[in-house]
Amino acid sequence: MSSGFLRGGSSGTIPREGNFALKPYLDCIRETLGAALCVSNFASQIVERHNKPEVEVGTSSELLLNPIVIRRSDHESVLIESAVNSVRFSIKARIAAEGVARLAAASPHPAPPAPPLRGSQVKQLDEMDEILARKFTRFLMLRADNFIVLRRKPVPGYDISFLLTNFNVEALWKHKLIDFVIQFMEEIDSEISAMKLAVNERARMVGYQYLREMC
Amino acid sequence: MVFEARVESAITIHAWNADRTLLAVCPNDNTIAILKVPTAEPLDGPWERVATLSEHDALVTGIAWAPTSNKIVTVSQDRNAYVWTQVGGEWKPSLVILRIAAAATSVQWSPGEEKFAVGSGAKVVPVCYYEAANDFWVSKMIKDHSSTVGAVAWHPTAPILATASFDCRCRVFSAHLRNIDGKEATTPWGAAAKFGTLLYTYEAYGWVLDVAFSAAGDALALTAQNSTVAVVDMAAAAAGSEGAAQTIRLSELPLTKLLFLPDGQLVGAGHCYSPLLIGRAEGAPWAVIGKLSTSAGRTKKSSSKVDSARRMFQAAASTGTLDSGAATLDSLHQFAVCGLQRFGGRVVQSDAVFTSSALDGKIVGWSAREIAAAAQ
Repeated sequence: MSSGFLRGGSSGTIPREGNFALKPYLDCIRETLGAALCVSNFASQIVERHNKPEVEVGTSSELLLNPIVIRRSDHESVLIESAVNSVRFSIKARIAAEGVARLAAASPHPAPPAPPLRGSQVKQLDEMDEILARKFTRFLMLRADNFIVLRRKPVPGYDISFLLTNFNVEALWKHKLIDFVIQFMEEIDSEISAMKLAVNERARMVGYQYLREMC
Repeated sequence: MVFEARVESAITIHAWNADRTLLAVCPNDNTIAILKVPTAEPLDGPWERVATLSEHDALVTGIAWAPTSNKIVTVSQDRNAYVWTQVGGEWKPSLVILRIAAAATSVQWSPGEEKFAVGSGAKVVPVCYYEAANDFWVSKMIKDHSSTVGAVAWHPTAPILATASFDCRCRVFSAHLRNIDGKEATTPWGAAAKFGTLLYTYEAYGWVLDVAFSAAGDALALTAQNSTVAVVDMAAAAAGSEGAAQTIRLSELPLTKLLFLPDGQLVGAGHCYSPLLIGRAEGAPWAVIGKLSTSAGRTKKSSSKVDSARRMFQAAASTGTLDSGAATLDSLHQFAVCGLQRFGGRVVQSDAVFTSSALDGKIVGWSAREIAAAAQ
């Protein structure tokens, strides 16, 4: 385990992709979300005096639009499900893919998607990414009320979900609401990367101290 | 010169009285405020509230003000409708027996003002008329929809009704009531058919959000969620010809409200925050002419440093970001437009052909000058 952490720490020297590389992806999401957020107040046609997000209740199929997936890589995509009065926006973060991507970038030959090379290391990196991502998104989702549009549970297969309803669009500027979601995407990404670096740093220090004691 | 006035914190619907001295608005809750149009500057700021109509117990979704009889009909998501009559300065509600099991979505008076139609989530359209013997408004149902009916529109002369439904279709029905309209009534389809007869269907491939008849009744316009506007020629539709409808694809986000101007042009607004002008030259097909903008007459009042600093802090406070770059949009409305009404009058020194309202609480009056500028 410790060797994996030590190696993982050194991987921090490989330059990370900046926002520049992410820009076309985020621009695409921004435009799609702008079109998806054409929502309006809509009372339930099934249950009287109810007004619920149709994307959540899903009782009338004609009120749901086709979901859209915007995919940047196998592990990095967003799902936009829209309905007449609400939009559900789910993010699968880069984090899980990072280990694979770094190994692929480090090796001179592009590796196939499921490479046998150094399989155990990839898995270890993935595990740490997963733990970090799970803990961090859980921390956020426990505080979902403070984020107004954050959903308490992610959609299955995704790391974090937002629920944007017509009431949010009525109270907040739509373009600023989209800015918030995009900014959140950028930040969660860099936040988890930073946390991972910090964990690796700490592991290396612990390993260093431990070995110094021994020798 | 356009006029803009922020009269409430939010406006979801607005309706004018006949002489444009009073304005009924719904501030996105279960009440209706009747506001007095100021007779002197300043226009901006809260207008004097002369009455509050509070009988509904859920969000009000429709207000229609009959110009001749001066009656207001309001519908709400609580499944009720009330007809308000002014008795000695007070507005008195009278109950309407709507008989629907889901929310009402919109309401329109017929041109003769003796009946009104209500769009509903119960997939039916109640057409209501007054029954003097019982002293309440009773309804007859138009069926044949398979989803919520979002909007209704009356033909200006014939007893026919167009409906916009979330099942992606726009339909035209006969709404001929013998006891009201008399035995004889003519429509583009010949003699008036039995009440509730489906006369025409248009498939829009997207939720139909609004319908409107032109002033002469020769054209029917509808807008759909897939950013299209279709204009149906009524004579051709009645003859059953294939090319009765012409579809215009927009490069903007979908329009949710349509309004025919007296000169036969069409304006629409909604998720596209600036009204779009749609029209046609003689013999040519319908096309988007332009977007109504405010550069012509708008006073540049937000250019001072203090204002821009204030905007930045507003942006920071409301969204948590310090990026003030795109804090406000170019359009006059900063939220989706949810009301377009004919005006054709004058407020203090500003003429307006039509007015638009949005959730930012603004009423904007658009004059002939902006319309002419958009056409160039």
